[in-house]
Amino acid sequence: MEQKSIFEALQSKTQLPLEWVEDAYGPKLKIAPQDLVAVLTLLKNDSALGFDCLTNQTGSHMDPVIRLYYVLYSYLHHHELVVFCEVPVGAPVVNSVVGLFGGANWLERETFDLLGVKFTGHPDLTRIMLPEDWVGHPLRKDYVYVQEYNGIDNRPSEITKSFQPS
Amino acid sequence: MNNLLHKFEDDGIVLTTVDHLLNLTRANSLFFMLFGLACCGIEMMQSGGPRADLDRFGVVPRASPRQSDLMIVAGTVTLKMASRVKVLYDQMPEPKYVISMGSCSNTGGLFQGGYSVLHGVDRVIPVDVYLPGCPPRPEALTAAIIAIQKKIKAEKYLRK
Repeated sequence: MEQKSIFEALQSKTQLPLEWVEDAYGPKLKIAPQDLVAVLTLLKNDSALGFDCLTNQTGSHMDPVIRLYYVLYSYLHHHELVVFCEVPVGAPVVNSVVGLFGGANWLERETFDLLGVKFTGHPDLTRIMLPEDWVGHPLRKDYVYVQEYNGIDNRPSEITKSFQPS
Repeated sequence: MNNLLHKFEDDGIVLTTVDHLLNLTRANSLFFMLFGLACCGIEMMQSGGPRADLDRFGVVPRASPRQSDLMIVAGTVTLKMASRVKVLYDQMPEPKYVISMGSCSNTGGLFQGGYSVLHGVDRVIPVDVYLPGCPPRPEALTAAIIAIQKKIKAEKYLRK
């Protein structure tokens, strides 16, 4: 199915607010964060849409919101759809989709690790890549780099500083 | 002395110091610990292959720090890995040597602007040879090994 017709097919099946966004990075579907699980359930279970695979789940900090992307793929119909929702940076909370797509488990942990988004209902929301005692979430725009970690001095050397653009 | 020399004449003799003999054996049986952390690790594997052939210097990889006397830190050291590097270095028996292979291991290299990258492995362990390159060719690693061998041969091992 074409990207736009996926949106139209979905629109005819639900009353939830949906928005079709086409920007420089390609077409995608914008939904409200509280509708996330409902929309993804519909996309997965509907026979005409049949999105049976979550290929990627990621996020990006775009002040004042954090965008959460869900890239879906259908092995049945061989079509793809990007769904995204926006949560405020101050209270980044969204429902987990692990119950729907098992593969979301580690992907959501990664998003939690790097952006600090809380996925309610996730079975084990702990850091996946950074050490457990790490402070902060590095992909936030306001993240301050650590100068010292576990007694290791990691301040940039004078030579390193001389190469950095002022 | 002359009588002594004549006594072993038929066998052939070599006069040397114990230091020199020990250093000769140490320098030509460098067992290095595998520490491939990034793309430099691929070049390190190449160096062990038939073309560069580190084996001809008696340099063979070991999978355990307790059997190694040389550590080749090949690749980007992250802050998470840094403490592990230190633990493994501490487990190696003395005397031990370290080659910091590639720009990343020397200074953080290309990734030094990253939030998780250590600015050079010399922040956690002492380094004997810094090997520049991104990544260094197997010939360069061979040169670094020879530099370590020269260092070992110059040491007064027994009178340390």
